[in-house]
Amino acid sequence: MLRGAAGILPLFIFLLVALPVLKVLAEVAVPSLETWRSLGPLLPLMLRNTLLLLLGVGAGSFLLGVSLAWLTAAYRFPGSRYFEVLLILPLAVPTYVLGYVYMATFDYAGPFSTAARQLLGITLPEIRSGYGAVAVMSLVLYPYVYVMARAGFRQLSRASMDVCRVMGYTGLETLIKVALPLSRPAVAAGMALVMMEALTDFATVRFFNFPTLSEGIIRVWYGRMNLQAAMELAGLLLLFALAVVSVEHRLRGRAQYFQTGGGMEKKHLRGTRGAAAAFFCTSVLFLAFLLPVLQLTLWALEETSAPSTSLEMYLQLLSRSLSLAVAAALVCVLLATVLAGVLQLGGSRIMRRLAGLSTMGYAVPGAAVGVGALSVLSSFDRWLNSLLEGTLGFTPGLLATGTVLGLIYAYTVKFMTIAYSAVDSSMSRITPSITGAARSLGARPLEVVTRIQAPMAVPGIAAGAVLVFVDVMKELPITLILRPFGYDTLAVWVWQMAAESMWGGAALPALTIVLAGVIPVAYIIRRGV
Amino acid sequence: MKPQVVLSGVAKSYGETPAVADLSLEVGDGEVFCLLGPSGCGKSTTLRLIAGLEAPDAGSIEIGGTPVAGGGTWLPPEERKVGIVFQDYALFPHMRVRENVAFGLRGWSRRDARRRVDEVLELVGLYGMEERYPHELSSGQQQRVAIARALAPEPEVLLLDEPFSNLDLDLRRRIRQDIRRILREAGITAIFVTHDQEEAFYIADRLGVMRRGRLWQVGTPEEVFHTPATPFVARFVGTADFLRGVVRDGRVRTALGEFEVHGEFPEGAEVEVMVRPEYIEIEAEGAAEAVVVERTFLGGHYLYTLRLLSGERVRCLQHHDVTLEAGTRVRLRLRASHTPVVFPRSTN
Repeated sequence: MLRGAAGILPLFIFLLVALPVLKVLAEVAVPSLETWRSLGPLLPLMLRNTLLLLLGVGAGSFLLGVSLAWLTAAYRFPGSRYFEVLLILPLAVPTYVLGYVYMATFDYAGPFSTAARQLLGITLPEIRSGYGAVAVMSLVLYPYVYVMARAGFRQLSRASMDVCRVMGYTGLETLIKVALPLSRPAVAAGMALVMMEALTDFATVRFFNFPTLSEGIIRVWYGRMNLQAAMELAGLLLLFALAVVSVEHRLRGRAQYFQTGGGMEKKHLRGTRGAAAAFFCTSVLFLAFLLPVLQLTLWALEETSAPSTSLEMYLQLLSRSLSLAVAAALVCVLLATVLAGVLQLGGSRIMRRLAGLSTMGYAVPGAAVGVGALSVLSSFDRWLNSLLEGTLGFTPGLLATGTVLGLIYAYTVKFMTIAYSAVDSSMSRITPSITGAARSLGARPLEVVTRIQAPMAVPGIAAGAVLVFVDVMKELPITLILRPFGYDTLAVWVWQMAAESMWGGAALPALTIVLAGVIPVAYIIRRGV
Repeated sequence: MKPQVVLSGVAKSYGETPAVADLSLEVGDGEVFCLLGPSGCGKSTTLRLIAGLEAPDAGSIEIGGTPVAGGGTWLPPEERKVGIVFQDYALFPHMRVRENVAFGLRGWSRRDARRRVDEVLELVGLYGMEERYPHELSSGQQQRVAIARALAPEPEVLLLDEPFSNLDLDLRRRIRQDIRRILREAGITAIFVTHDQEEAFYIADRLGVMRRGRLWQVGTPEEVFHTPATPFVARFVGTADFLRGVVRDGRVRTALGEFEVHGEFPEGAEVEVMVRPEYIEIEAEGAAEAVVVERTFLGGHYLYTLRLLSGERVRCLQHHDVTLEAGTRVRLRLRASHTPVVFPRSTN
């Protein structure tokens, strides 16, 4: 019956999505020392840098995210109402775009360093370093912590704030002793997202000459075409990701603090203190969003006279990125809807677990998903070719690894989570009593679908599709690993041009990606910061 | 009174667990009937069976003289003329109040539908809220929309599943009054489910006490309160103490005195006698001696816990002007108007 067929579906989706991850995990279980030896001193360096990057970006985003969230949640100062919303904007800038802009503007020969030397007589610290990478990533990733911390702070009751005030706590003491511990689960979730993004990035660390595991995977695959070594590194990278997930789990604990919210009463910051708060917010916003957008716009305008990226080229990149993103978004929401729908019909505990596992791809860094999918797909290609050659006497060629199909598959592995959680959250509102009410009011089963279930689920499905769409638009490592030969997208083009120091040529594609990134930010803002 | 809803020998199990077992029940036209029982007793399942959201494994159901389930017939919920109000209200979040209420008015002309929506919104006191979305309403208002929506298509029976459980205490009292008025004004047959005996007493014409999928007693609130069929029913619908007793010569002897026994008990049978705090008086002439153990202030009354000479404890409700300290010796007697209910001792 339906029950049997429907029971198979989650299992099938799970296998589809989990296979690349499982394959990479298997590499960790059977490490080949020879491969590690072949990497020489690079391996310990990559491990060290990955760890440093995680800690550095984690600390940086924590400081920026929490302080900005506290400032805007607990105080009123000039412009604070606008900063509340605007401070999420840096989320729209992918790490590698800010990395490329900073590489160009803060380099020794760039305008800032030159000005500092000539006017002030000081030498700015070298941007192409681990510090530079940490600074750049913290600047665009802190909004994850910011948004989550604000959500946590919002649950603080006015009463608990009043208790602090009566006991004579200062603002900072209240933050450290009450507000932060209460929002720990939320902040931990935000930090985990930041660290996953930091693990995924390979381009910024490449620009800044700070090789990490992600960078290493791309290097051995791209440079040496050594899939085995790439898989081994992906396995190590996956261990880092698992560590992040489990630490987050531990930090979140069983603690779920629910307080009757109502928000806190904001204190007015006047005079210099108000000005200092406003200045701090403005600086962050400038460095993380305004500066890159302005710089990219300037470059793009300069480019119009003598373009290094022709209009035809740009349009082709745009149409490729758009169609990949649309296709991946459709596949993701289709699978997510099926999964959520089947579970709604009444899934067993095992099925729910599988659904949970099917969506863990998001925690796996892009480069690991990329090589995992590549390995699965090339096995599939070999199997399909030998099967068809044996039975029909022809070979279809590299159906999965040589076309965009493989790319879309890998995107699905990585981004299913986003679609699933959006779809599931809206579908879980369609309770049995909702459908029961519709039936007893005279609606036939088909009508229940068209008048109740579909209209209630569509907003979630649409949101899921948009979020996947935007993530694919800016995705880089998976695209680099799995794209068909010579198949450039906007993100790939930005990466290649920037790597060649052709700042202008990368500007318009980068600006397009940032523009797409503003969409989910607007979505977050509309739902209330 | 002709029966509007008839259940005969209805049974329903989920896997191995029987949710409803051999349940028979008749609810009269225009009657407000309550299924009362602890959570998991099968009362909500019974409601879902009547609504057609579940199919019975055995037995049959009739609504308005038409068989709707059992004996080879099956009418889907949309053809049963039954309105249902869910515990979580189940309002459609993407529709305004007007659209929610009009949802069941299929085949009505636009003008009639509009008039009907206005009418039921007026009835539930939400006139003027038509253009709001459910999330813009308070939970009390949401519930009244759910009732209006269920009443709009003029169903023959209205089913309400724990209609007050999502409301806070204060609101609950007010809404309870409203609902009683609405049901009476609409003159509709209603079956509602609750675990709160106070609610059941307040609204119901008759009620049935359920436990473990079975109906243990059906009757008016007064009948169920004063002459409970089992000790469980006695405890569930009010405060009850049980005194050991022995039957001699058609009378039962307890620590509180001797009473006549109604019913078939052999000579020398060991029994339990139910007494409620409302039945006992502190009286200088009383037959039994007792010591005050505890006094609880309930506003207009005091609830005294007393220890009898046998060591058994009983509770007794007194007006607030009777103030006794713990340790005081008193005499008790059963109010003359109450014949105590006697159960064989082995029952739980």
